[in-house]
Amino acid sequence: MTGLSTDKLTLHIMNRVGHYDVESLDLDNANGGGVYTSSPGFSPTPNGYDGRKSIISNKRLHRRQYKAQSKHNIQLDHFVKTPSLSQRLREISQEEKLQLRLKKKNSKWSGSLPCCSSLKNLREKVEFWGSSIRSIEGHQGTGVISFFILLRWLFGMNLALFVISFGFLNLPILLFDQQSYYLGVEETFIEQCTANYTVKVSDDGLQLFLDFFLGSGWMEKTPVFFGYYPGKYMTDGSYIYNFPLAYLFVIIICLLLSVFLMARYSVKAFRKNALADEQDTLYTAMVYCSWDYSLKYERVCETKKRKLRYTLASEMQDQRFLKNRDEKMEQCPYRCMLYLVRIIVNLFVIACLGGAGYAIFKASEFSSSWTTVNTVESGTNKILLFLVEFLPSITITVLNAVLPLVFEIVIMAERYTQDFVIKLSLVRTVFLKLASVAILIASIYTGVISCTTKDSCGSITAPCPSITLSALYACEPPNRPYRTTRNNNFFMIVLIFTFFLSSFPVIYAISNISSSHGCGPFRVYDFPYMVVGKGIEDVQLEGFTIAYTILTSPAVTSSLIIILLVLLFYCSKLRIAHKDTVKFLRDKIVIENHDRQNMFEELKKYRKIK
Amino acid sequence: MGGSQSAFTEQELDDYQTLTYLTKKEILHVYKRFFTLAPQAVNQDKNTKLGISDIQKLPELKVNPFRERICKVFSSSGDGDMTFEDFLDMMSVFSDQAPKNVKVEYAFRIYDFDEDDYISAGDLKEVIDKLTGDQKLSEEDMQQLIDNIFMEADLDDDELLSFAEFEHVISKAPDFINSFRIRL
Repeated sequence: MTGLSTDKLTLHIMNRVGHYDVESLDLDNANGGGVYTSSPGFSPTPNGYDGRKSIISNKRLHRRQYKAQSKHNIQLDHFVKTPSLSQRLREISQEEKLQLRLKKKNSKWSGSLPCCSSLKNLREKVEFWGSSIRSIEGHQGTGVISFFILLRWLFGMNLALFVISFGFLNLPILLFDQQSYYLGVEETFIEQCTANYTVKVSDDGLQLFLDFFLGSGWMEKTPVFFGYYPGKYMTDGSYIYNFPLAYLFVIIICLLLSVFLMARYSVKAFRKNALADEQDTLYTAMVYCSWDYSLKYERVCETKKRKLRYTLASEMQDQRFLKNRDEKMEQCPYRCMLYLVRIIVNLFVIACLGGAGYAIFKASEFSSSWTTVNTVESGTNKILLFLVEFLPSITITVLNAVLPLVFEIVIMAERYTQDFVIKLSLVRTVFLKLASVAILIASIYTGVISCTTKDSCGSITAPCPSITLSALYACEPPNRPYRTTRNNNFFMIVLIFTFFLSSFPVIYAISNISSSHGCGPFRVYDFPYMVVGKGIEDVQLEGFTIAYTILTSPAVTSSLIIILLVLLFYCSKLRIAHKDTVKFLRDKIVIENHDRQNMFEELKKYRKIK
Repeated sequence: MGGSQSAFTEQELDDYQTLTYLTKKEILHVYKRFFTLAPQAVNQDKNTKLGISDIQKLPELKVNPFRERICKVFSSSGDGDMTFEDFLDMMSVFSDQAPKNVKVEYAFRIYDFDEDDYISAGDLKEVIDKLTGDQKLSEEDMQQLIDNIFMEADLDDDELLSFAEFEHVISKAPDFINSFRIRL
């Protein structure tokens, strides 16, 4: 809208625009119950199905009463369409082309480190399972694919961890000559314990097979077993490799790397969804974002259309159900009864979870006590022994299969919306599976620590590696056509949670469990963490030991913790401030739109007068 | 099909790469797919215009409920017939590298059935009908859904979605980018 000729007019309009809010408020009061204009064919009633307390809906009612007369409000900046490629090719000049090319080159490499760019190139050329993923995408769509992409990422992370542990632990064993091993510490009784600890590899075929699952017998002589690793220094004459220190550092680095990679993934995903408030765009997203353009096959598309129709119809039905329920909730008897039912169901669910945990605990207790009494030597049947040893796992599997079905049945009585039903069921099922893991870890802990028949050479710690992945499989992606990003975030949260749950025993073992003197890389030391102290001593630098003692003193560590807490507090406050800014800007859009309409009306009036 | 490399000069490929969001390798791949739609015609003249029925032979478009609108929007003549450059433009907008605002603009044009630069309730109804397939939604459900969408997106209450309103509401939906994508 060019050419507002007089400055006076401009000022006048700007003034009107500035006072617009006040004006509209007055009009609202004036037209309290007045007639509002309506376009043909659409009911002007306010959306009565809406159970949500939306602030906008009340404002909308007021705005409808004060609406511009024309159907097509001419916007001052109308929609400008991008010209087609052929047109762009014809119209663009050489210099503009060069500029564009430079801009593209710069934007590609901005924001990434030089090493990351070469990694990205590699990833573009070597895409694991690219064709399989593309074919699945054509059949099932983007929702399912995101789960597989997460699994592929997980595989990549495991590969990285494998490379690190293999490179620092297994390679030295292969490279350094075994004759060159020597103890860094003078302790002769350690040699005695090591000599005493012999692994009995049985001749029986069945026992050998069972050994593979239990990790005993011949498995103890492989690199998979903790005790295989030597507790000595390695040297090739000039270079000394402190193996126990390397082992401890590999554990710590693997833990830290996992945390770093998972955090980076979560932050990337979080940044994408930071402004996405799903409640506000629910139905629009359902219509405009649910058709997956990458689907290729006829049958799949038909299924998808049917699913979409079913989802839309059930969402509308849900909304009517919610309105109906909310109306009923106004009356006390229905409301009180519903709350009572909900409390009962929640208590029932908690009782089930508690019962499940107790059952697992009892099973593992029974299993460990029974197997210490009835060992192979006393002549019990090997298969029976195997079954009892696996009793805790069997209990967990049965409970994980049966209890979710029970939860599914009882949740119907609670009368929640479909959305909340899915969330609540998922939370309850995940709690069940995580509780099983937690109880199992607790029982292992009590079994190992409170073992009274320890001799001076100590007992062996058992690692528990595969718990993380099984907890991830606990989440089946729910059947919604447009919730892919939400599911991914949920999987990642479960992964992180389980990671911390399973890293806790490892860290505990490093710091508090006295190491076995019979085997393993820490056999020389009383506790595994003492390796670090010895390693520091080995470094013959002057101020190094002093610096180390200062850095690990309580003063420094507690100050660091306080600084971290302050940063955390600051970030959370920042987030709240941003949320407020977003809300303010959103309201501003509405006001600006009205201002423009009003300004245009004024201009029309002015032209008419002229 | 090693011949696709020789169909374009270095300069042409460069220009295409600068003005679209595809790499040279991807552009050649798109040409390969375009070729398979009508080998005789394209072999004779690579700038030939393929009719809408030929374009819709592409498997990715054949099952898409909005295929007619897509062809109309990207066709430079406006009637659905596309040259290779139109086809390339389409693949560029649907690629991974295209930024969100470009995708939103073209999505708006595709979903605006009556081409008046606004999405009216009629446009919405057509979209929903195409999405649900043979079995349509009931009258009551349809009206309720349209009302809900206008309540979410229509900020100035004119029963029309302008591009600004559409962009505003779609940019907030996290799954838009993932669904508005065709990979050849």
